[in-house]
Amino acid sequence: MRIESPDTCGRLSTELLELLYYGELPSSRAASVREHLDGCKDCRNRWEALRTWLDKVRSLSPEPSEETLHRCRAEFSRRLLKESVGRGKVRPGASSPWWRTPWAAAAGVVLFLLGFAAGWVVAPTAEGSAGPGYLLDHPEFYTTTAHISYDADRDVLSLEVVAARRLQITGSPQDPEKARLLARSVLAATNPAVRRQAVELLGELSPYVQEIEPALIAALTTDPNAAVRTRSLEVLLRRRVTPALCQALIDVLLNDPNLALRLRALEALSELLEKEPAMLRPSEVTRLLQVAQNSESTLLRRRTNALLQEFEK
Amino acid sequence: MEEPELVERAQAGDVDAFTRLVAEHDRAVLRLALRYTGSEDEAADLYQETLWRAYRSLPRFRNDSRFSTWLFRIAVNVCLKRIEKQRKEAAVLEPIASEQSLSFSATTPLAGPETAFQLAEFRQRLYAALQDLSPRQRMVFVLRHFEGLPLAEIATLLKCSTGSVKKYLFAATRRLRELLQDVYQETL
Repeated sequence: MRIESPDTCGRLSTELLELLYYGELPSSRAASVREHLDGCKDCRNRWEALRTWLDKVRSLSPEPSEETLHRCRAEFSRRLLKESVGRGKVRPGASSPWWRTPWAAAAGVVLFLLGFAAGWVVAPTAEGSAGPGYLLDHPEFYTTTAHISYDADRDVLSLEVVAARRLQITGSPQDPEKARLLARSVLAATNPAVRRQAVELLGELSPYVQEIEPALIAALTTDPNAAVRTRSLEVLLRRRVTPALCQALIDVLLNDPNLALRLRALEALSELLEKEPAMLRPSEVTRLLQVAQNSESTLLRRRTNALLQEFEK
Repeated sequence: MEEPELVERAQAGDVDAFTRLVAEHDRAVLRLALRYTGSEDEAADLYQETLWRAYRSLPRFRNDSRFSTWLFRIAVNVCLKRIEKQRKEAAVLEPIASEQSLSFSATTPLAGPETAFQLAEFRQRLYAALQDLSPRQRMVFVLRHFEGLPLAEIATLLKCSTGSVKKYLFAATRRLRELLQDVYQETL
């Protein structure tokens, strides 16, 4: 494109100087411009002013904070979880409404299996139209009180949520898929007290749940509520060590706003690595080094350093 | 697990694979959104929309570019569309908005060693000035000046010629110099 005529001495336009600044001139053209700048005080002054100004503007470019990134990731994880609960194991790109998809039939089966005794909350006439997805879309039914009980004689687990209306979810804990669905559906609740109950439920059902998916681990350990995160960590630590859990602990250590929780994660990590040092991958050692060097807490820095030294041995 | 395998699994509906895939590149998405809007809340919102759109469009991803490039392109489009929409809404509600946005050019000039307060004020003015640019001018400026992308790459992202990208960039910097004239004058 044609470069417009210059402002002063007549040789170098501001646009040309901008291209020089951005390194967008061919090398021969850049050399001739630099040669002119060496000999022309007027253009050199303009070049210096432009460069200083552009540098100054660049120095103001904002960087997202770790906290914001952490919050965004947690929110997105929650949205994905909600989607996978509400629509079964959803395939990305699915655009049909869920009630018109084949999984609607499956939802009906799940509903039946879970033994939803929802009364007037879940429309009893349309078996396929209600299920965890229905609950998630109607958060007004969640509340501050929830009670979990297990009737060993009948082998029936109940999660009772007392809301504006009363809702009961019951089912046998022996089926891991059921347990996961139940926990995940409640995890998407807006009320932290209900989420906390979901975590407790997960803890109770833990022996029956073979694997907790990394996305669920991430959602639990990044919950906006500190009490839910703390309890989640304890529940997860009672389980078999997996790389995902190890990674989640380091995430907590790096990003959690609560120092007590970060210290707990570090302590758990030390214990885990004592038993299974192979769980720590080189990229995660680098992340631990970040904590050791950059954490604002002296205690955390010192303990992370100690862990790394122990690990090196 | 390598990227193509993660993509394949994510396309088959594996939510965890998608989460892992995105975790490598989502910081760049959030950074672009923040640099484009200057607001953490808006950036967080654009982040959600970008990732959600990527998740929904994943079956159409053909591996003919890197996943990161594809995701970044979605982020660029989401940012552009959002601002275009906001502008249309603002034009209906408040037709004199563009005149109002000029008023900040006459604020007190910065002088001497800058305090944190002055820098914060300048950043605020810079973002007010960026809002005066067209969505594309602003995007080109952010991509070239803040993100350091070459003009040719920006042209590919925006699906236009390098010449057009230069026009957007020159228009953007010229307008910013006008709007932040006092700061520019200091450097002369």
